[in-house]
Amino acid sequence: MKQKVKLIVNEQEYELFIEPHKTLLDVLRDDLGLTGTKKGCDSGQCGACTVLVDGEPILSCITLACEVDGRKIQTIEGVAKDGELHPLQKAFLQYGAVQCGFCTPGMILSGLALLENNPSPTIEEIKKGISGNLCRCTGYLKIIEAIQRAGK
Amino acid sequence: MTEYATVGKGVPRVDGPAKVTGDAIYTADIYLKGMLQGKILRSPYPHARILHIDTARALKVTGVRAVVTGKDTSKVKFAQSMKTKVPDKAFLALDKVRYIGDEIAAVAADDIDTAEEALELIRVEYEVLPAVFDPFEAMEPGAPLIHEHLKSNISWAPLYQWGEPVDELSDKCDVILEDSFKTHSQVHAYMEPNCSVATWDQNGNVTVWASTQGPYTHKQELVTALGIPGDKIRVITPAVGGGFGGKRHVVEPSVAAALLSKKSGRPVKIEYTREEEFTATRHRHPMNIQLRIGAQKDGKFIFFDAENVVDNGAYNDSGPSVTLYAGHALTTNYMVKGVRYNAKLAYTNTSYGGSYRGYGNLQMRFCLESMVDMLAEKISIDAGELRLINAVKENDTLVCKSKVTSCGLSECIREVVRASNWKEKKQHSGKLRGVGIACHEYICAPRWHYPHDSSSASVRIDDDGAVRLFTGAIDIGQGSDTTLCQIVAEVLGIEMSQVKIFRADSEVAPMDLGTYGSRVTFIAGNAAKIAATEARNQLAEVAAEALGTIPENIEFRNNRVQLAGNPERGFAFVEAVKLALNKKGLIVMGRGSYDPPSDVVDFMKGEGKFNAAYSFGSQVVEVEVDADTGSVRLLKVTSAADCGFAINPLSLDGQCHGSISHAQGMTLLERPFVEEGNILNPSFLDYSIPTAMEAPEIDSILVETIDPDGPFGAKGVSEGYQVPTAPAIANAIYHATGIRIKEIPVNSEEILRGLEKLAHSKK
Amino acid sequence: MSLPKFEYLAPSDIKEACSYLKEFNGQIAILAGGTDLVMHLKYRVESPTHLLSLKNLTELNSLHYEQDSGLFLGAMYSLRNITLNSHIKSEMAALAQAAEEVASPQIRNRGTIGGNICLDSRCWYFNRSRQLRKTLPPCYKTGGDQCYVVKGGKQCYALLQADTVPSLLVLKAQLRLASAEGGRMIPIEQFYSGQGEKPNRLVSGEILTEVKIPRLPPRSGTAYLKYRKRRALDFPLLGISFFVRLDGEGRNCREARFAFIGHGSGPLLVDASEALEGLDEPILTEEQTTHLLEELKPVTHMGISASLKRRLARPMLRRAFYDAWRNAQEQIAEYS
Repeated sequence: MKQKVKLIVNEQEYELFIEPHKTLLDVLRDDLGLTGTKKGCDSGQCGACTVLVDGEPILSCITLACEVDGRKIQTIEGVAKDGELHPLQKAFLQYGAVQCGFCTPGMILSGLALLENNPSPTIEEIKKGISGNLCRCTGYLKIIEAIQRAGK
Repeated sequence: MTEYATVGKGVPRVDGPAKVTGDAIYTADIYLKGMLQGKILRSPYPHARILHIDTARALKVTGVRAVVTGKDTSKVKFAQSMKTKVPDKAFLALDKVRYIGDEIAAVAADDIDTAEEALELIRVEYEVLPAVFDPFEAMEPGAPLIHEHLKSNISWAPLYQWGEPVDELSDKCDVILEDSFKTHSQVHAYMEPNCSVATWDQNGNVTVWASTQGPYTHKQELVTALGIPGDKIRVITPAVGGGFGGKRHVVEPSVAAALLSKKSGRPVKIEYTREEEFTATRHRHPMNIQLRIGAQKDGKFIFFDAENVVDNGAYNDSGPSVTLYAGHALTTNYMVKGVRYNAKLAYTNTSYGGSYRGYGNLQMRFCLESMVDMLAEKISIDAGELRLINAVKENDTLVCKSKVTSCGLSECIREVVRASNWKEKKQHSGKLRGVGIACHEYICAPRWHYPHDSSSASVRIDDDGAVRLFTGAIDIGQGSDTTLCQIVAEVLGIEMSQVKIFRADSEVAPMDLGTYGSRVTFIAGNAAKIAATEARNQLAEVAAEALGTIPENIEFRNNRVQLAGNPERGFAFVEAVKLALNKKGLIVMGRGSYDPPSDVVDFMKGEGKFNAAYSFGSQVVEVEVDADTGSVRLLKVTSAADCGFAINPLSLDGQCHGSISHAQGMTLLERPFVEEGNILNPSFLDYSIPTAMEAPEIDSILVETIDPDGPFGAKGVSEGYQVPTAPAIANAIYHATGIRIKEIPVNSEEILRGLEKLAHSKK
Repeated sequence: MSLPKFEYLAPSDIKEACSYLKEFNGQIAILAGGTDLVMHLKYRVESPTHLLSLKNLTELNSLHYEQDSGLFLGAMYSLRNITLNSHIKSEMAALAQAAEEVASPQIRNRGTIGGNICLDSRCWYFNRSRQLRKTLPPCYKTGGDQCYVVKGGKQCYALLQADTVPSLLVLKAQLRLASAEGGRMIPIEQFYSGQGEKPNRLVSGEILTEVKIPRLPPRSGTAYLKYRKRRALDFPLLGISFFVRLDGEGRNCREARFAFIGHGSGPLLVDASEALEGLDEPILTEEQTTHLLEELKPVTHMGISASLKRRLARPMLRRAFYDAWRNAQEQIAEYS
């Protein structure tokens, strides 16, 4: 039986009628057209599907959409504001942290959450903060640098 | 050193802004009206004959719109275009399946649930055949025959002899060492799974979006599979989420999607699961190498003599060229009098090998560079010094009858020795810490498969001031879009922001063979440079006439077209463009085509200069071995690479880091565990690619040798970064513990046993 | 990968939850953080007709501390919150350390202590898609009659790899289980069956609601160590928690116990008090180590050999003992 679910995504409210077995990732991509969140493994292991729920990074591919009914969700599409990139996005560009870009949305959201809780993280803390986000292109170092520089 | 405005600078990626906002479109992000979801039915057996396929029950499921099998294809088998190979792979199985995962049929349905349900209802009648999983066993007489068109499971068995006959060189040697090494498979594990979307119009034209490294070759393969002419097929490659070689020939999702789309009359998307990525795409060829090195006591190498048994897997794909390159690698970074290479490429009923950054060179260098260290110890010469004694130099002629053009190998070795404090660390590294060195050559732009190795480009300058570059080159994350824009911006003296790049659409972009063999910067870069130069010359002529001078006196700088030495006399760039239009009725357009100075590879002899250039490099690594657990931690890598000229140093450093991460994984962490053809760990959880926690410190040094043929002197370099790390780690482990690693990935238990043994022998 | 279709239930109180469990007995699965269950559903190793979401049971997402009784953790308390709780970090180091080591930040944000306690056992032949499982006849854990880990084995050898379990064992945690019939409270050591098919003794119709950790005696300390290939994501290939209590002067060992996880289908809890009684420094001899590890019998599993696990257990035991001792001394220093 379909469930009535309210999702607040990037500060916009969506009232949806969805099958309970749908994951948040599939609802974001297939139903809301927000394809910035990526499906890297669909198994909760690579972090490419990371979104923020009430500011906390979670894996949308193993989270049922019904489970985040009424919660505030931030995807990569909601990071830049009014056409202005967030300092973290700018840092990713400036310091060479983007190659194929597939892990980038998840990385940025994990980085955002980290800096929100810890504005001046050490390199070890940054590594830990993105330890749930796999990257196969960059070897992580420039991503770590970008997050560090975007901090205080 | 020439001062450039744009090339040589670490400018941000032109595709970066779309990627950091989530705007970048990858193939899976494409949603078309009425689009169906497709899924492929795969063989559960490693070896079986297909007797009958019954799709009736699947077709009856509500929401299923089409089912296709091998009968719906052209029934032609395909292979990479290579002389020594016979096409051996059907797009969808025709007669047999040869590994667990082999494609048999495909279903398209309204949603993925229905497609998966229907897949279960396809009835396949198999005659299960005995299977063989080990290349040595596969070569035994009486082993189950995997491909009936051959008499045995040996796909290819080259015997190459270069330079002086090895058997006659033994007398010239003071020392001969012999040992065996083994490398296991490695999975690319790029973050974006393979995906294809196909749709037909009502006039028999199909458009396929695919996550591929080579839309041109992808299109050729679709011509073969669909049996329709190439001008009816359009292949478009959106953003690609990594490839590393693995997305060169995975054409099955596109073939299945196209066939399903044709049958159903609706667009079809096929998205691979991560399990399919681990089990049913390509991976690195495992190799079993025996190497003999003969040398003199002054350190001069005399001969290399290698035997290699390569596990092909179920089909050929890149097997022959990888096998060849593994041997070729013995001739290209050290001067030596004779090389013999005796290889056997054996089919087995397992997931099959394909292109993977390193391409055989990497496996051979794990062996060669480990043995160079063993030799260094034997004759008491420093490992770095021994490499310097034998390193190839600019203009050297190699025993394989190729020539080295630009070469910075010696400089790379000296740089890493200096920057890593090699001498000091070799003396005192602390308990169970060690340093190791290795070096490499890597081919730039090999002419493996086609008589040509071309790329073409066109540059169009519109009166809005934007410069539009059309290229067939594919950016799979390595940054080629940015590099090509930099080249165009440099030639025209304009800002990066004025250059727009259009690529990877077979209807719009000129032909390019694809992203592999470190060829894009060199070949597509030169094509773009030629095209931009032609456009520049057109504008120079117009400006010269207007200024009453000759075109040679016109310079393009700071967004202006002006008189050299008298910059106030001239035009803003967009003014010059408008002048050309208004005065001459000319829309400025330049074209460029580039085919590098290389020969077609001679597979019979393995000889010749079948590449545009060689890149070289060296690494010193520092490791720490935990004596309690046997774990090896990679602490630091000092890398120096000869890139010819660094068009984008920021990008090159990024490539360095990424390649080293793959190498770290291959050496210390990653291994597909295969049992009777079944991959037991097909997930990111159980197949351990490095996380951010594993990232070592990396010092990346760029050595510039200015290649005579590369654009601005640049040559391809990135694949090479992945090559020396494994042997450098093995050498560092030896330095730290006295244990010589001959099989990768490194096994903790082997380290612990080795430490125990050494402790015992000391007592 | 899609999930099977199910009816979704999200009750607001435990009584209602228990009545659902009774009504749909045998066909209902409990959804806490979902980090384990959702993959089971995608892999179709479970296909319940009903899913019981705990998201509205706010009383389960709680923590309170009673001076005399100890710490009460609601089963839905997240692993992340455990790592942030200053009381747990200072008083029950092994639990905070274990929670910290689970998977990744994203998993710790959703993963719950209850979910970790009730974690299903794992095996490469089990945790894979239905398509891949079909390439072999079913094993014991999926209702078949063979084991692929131990060829010819007479039982299931799926591994229990929950990080927090050894810590909860040495901390002598108790579990409150509720059902429509009432409920029970059991020591956590009675919760594990040691059987790969079903590693815990949660009865159908039952739900874990609370974990009680008694107040630690003074001058005691704990530690958790985890061995895995990478420093994130991986389950414990071997994990050990150690508890030690020192005497009044903080010099001699009076009580000691440790628990291993990751080596078999259940944890191994060993009372080492007698063996280590009176010890005045956290150093074990080779003989003591061998003796203490007698009952640890790992099998070769998921790419790691039994012999490697046996080797690793030795330094891990020694290090965990040392760390727990140091932790005890820190406790003493703090309170003196």
